[in-house]
Amino acid sequence: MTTWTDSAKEKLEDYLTRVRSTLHSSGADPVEVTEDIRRHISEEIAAGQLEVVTTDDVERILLRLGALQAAAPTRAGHPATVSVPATKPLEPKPRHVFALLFGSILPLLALVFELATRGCAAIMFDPIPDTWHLLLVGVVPLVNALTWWSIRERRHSWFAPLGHANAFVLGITIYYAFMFATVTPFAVVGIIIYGLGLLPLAPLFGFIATWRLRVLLKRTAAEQPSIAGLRWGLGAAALLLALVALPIPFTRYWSQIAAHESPEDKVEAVKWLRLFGREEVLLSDCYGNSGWGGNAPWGIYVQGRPVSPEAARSIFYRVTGRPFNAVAPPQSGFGLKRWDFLDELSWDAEQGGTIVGGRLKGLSLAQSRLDGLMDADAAWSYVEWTLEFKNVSTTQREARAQIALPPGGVVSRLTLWVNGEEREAAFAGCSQVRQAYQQVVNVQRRDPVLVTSCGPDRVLMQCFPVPENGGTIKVRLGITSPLHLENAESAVALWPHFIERNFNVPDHLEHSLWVEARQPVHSASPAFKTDLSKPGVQALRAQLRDARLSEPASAVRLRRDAAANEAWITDHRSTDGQIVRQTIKPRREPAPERIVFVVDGSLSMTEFFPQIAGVLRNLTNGVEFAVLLAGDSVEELSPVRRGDEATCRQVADQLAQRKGAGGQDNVPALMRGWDWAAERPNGVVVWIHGPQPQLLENGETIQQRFDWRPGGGPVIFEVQTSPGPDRVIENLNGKAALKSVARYGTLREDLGRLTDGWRGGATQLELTRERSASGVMPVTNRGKENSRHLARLWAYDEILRLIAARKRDAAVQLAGLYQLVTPVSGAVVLETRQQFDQAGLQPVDPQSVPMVPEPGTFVLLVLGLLAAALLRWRRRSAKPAANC
Amino acid sequence: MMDFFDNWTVQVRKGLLEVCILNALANQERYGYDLVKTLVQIPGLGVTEGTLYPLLSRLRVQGLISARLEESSEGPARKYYSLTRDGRKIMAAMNDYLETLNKGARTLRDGGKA
Repeated sequence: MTTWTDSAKEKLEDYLTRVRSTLHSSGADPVEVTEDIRRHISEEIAAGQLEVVTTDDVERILLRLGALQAAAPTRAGHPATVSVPATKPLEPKPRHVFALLFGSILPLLALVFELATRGCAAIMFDPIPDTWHLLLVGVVPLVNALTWWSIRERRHSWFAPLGHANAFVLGITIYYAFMFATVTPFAVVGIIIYGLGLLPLAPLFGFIATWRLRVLLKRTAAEQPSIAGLRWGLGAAALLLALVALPIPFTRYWSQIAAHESPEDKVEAVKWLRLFGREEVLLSDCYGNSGWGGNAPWGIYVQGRPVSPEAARSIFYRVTGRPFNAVAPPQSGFGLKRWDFLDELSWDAEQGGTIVGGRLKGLSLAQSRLDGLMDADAAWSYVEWTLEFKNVSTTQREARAQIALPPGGVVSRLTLWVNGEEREAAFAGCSQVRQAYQQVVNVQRRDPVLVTSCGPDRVLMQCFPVPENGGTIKVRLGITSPLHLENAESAVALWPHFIERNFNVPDHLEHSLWVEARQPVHSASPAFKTDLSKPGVQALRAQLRDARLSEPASAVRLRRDAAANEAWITDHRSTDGQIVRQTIKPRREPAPERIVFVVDGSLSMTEFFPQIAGVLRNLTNGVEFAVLLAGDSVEELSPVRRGDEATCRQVADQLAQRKGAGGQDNVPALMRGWDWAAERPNGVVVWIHGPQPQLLENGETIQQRFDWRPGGGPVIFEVQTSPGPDRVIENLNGKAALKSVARYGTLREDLGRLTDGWRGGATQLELTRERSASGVMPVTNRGKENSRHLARLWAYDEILRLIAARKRDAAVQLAGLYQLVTPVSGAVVLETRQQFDQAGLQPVDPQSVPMVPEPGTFVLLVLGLLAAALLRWRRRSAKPAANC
Repeated sequence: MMDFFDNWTVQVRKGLLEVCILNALANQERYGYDLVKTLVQIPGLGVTEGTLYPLLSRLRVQGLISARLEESSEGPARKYYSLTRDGRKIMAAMNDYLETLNKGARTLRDGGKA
């Protein structure tokens, strides 16, 4: 053990300090030299076997070392201080410049260029589709710059961590060099011929420069034990890349199987996608755009080969349980400025068609107001929904939406604003109005709007064009609906709402609601404010976000006179002044002999399973029932059996504990349920389901059952748990055996209302409308004439009856006469009279359309205003005379 | 007269020192202390120990030699030097040059023509 005296230590440190300052610009590494000298002195002391090192010892050793700056030798035995010829100053050598230029500057330039233009993402594939990729790429220039600087400045303490970081960056550059390998030969040719193409080579050059920096780092850090971390860094890079990048090609791989392989393989692939698939990749493929490597440079799919948009939409639903257009459209990574014009030029494939399709960039709902009139005693409502769309993209857009109507509702008015003027629609057969619309949209590209039926209580609205660069279009739909009678003293009205749309509804946008009635009106939602300022009527006003419009809590309830069980109106459209009479009677629903519950097993249903279980627990003893779960395959939760308390509880408990998965196809379970129900003369199917935006199986098989039993087969009561498109229901449009259960309570309440109605003795109030000659109605029941909406509702009932009886022409004629949108008729507004004439259509008389306020009230209002104006004018006229 | 000779030897040895280091490492790697002691022993080279360490560092920075540390049971960790591929090339070139130069000088001394 050697001990140093304090003075000896000071002597040595003083010497070493001078050494460092002497060597500062010598070309040698001062830190290294001082360490070498320290090591040399230690060797000398060890060789001399000194136990205590004194100042004299240090001086002796230093004397032997000689003058440090004397690189020049002296004559033997005569030390002399001779200036050492200055070594070359440490300037960056060419290989250091290469490392900085290609390891840091070029990758940084490539990254900034891609972020600024999104050129690679638009033309080939997206190298930075998300934040994780951005971070990985961003690390390359950063770490390489740091390594270069540390080598230059000889920051030895940084070398060990930089060795690890360098290996990590090496792994990233290898991955990106491989990704760009298909482009490399063309980039080389581009540089040779055009002098362009350096940026695509940035990953390859980055890899070479990173490796060069590693060599330099090793050389510079020679006094360190070693520059380790190659395996560690490469391993870390591989792990991160596996987590970040591999899910993309994996998602595409399983998507291919889900789209093309056998049914068993499809189910397996969907399960894998639910576990490890990237939702953003699936969503991108739904739009068929270039994000996430959807494009293939020279036929080579770097990030996996995408399936067709149609297949991707089905897969997206099967995996996530949501419609692809229920979520915001994909963003192709990041960027200050994307090459948006490539997106804008992409053709809206669904334009003029019958599919809502994906969200269109730049298209949004700008304004929305709903104005309603309701009559609780006569149990009808009329709501006008005015919508204004805005398009900030650079091309004209078509706005499309599926709209849910209140149960039993029918579109009875359609208006389009053309140059600030209101234009009313023509009502005619579906094919005729659609043909007229398509002619104007796709050929003349002028202003039309079209509304057609697309399922029970739902219509498809489409209008074109929403002009580019901030242009707007404004339309209005009038909807006549019967009110639902909870009991003799209470009626309920639901609001129309969007089921599916191809435009954005901004978060800040609120629907402006105003409803008036002569009866007391209220809502459970605190958003509604009561307005009693007008004598004789009550009004409710509210501002509601889009999601809340469809909530049962936003329903409006009206108190009604329990004795008001009849209402009538003279039908002005009848040839001989017939009257339409509506009666309200209690009706006892016959108890079904068998109830088959078909429950959607999709993910979105999980939260509703306990509520359905609650209803199952309360099933009547002795009822014959079965429960089918529509999962990846049809699962019999309960075969057909007689229900008793224990059995019902057991099945209910089983269902309550289940968890839904992805989006399921309900058709197979529905068909099996229909078959089971059909085994009894009065069997019913209760189908409880979420949205099913894709018809995954052949819809004809279920159509066939309805076609063979148009009136006498099992009735399917469909209960939709949450708003959204359902292609199964659309496929059964016009089938009388499909009945929708109105949703204005919790699922348990609404389901319970249905099943309780089948208990012995339970009755429901039923609205019946009939038309007859004026003299047929008993005089005592006539009372005051009610609204023309009664005649419209009668006509709608009659049209559905005619459709069920396969009297299509008569149904179309009646729909045209009463100006209604039905399963066989639509409404179209064209811009000019000439367009109407060319299409063989006749727009309705503006005087014949319903409106809010109603014509009678409106006239009174105008007269009142005129009287007030006249009075004021007379007073003003009288004043000067008095002054005189 | 002696001053002239001294200056001349300084100029000659200054250039020789680097090639001596490279040659010392030509066949084996050596640790610093041993290398310094060996070079100091060369007659006429007249180099002090302190002169060699900056020179070794400079050669390493220039990529002509490489160094590594190895723990030693006899004392402090030893720093071993070896030639790099570049160093070996330079050494060969320097030796060739010296050989040519020496041969030319000897020819002149012996009365021949260069």
